[in-house]
Amino acid sequence: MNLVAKTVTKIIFPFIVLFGVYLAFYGHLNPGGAFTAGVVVITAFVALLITEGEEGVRKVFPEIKMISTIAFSCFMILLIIIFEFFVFARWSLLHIQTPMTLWSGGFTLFLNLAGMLVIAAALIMIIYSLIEEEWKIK
Amino acid sequence: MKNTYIIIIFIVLFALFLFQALIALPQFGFWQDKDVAKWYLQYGLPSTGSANVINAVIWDFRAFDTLGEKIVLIAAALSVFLIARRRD
Repeated sequence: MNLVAKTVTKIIFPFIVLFGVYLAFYGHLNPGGAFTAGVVVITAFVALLITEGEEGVRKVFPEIKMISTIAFSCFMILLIIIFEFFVFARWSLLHIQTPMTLWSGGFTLFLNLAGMLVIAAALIMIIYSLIEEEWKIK
Repeated sequence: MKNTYIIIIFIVLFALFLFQALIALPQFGFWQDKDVAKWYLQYGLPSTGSANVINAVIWDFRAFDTLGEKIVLIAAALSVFLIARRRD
């Protein structure tokens, strides 16, 4: 790939991930949430995949990290939901009464972050499996 | 024979719970008797504290449905990963 494309992708990659994490953090205030944040995060990885090829991305995000991310995030979601429902029998523990702040939603903050990790890791796993090597432009 | 008994017991229990769930639905044509959407809009912010009502419905009122959705997504991703691998 072109040298300009590679350099610009390497510079822009953390900002796209930052935008996705912003969407996940403000999921309970602005439109966004876990699902759109996960899609935005994998857009950054796909940009890196197109310009650098598979080896460049596999150094940053190897396959074992994907599986462990999925497992950990699922476990966290399950724990939070069960804890919220059966121990306290009330919605959205750990929330403060003023709306439109960071801790207004309580546990929905952690649920949004964990959901973003699950979606990003699962979709990147699918993209890794279906990609071919022959179309890479030298 | 034991499998047949287990299947019959499962079908009976499932039918019991399904009957109780379907009885609670409003009459056909009178959906205003149980307007759940209006209740969500009215009590979404005071109950949960999140201004985004969609977020409140997904992660608070219907959290188990979202958990099931995540499980389906992971099952799909894992099956694609296991079938279409490229390592020979």
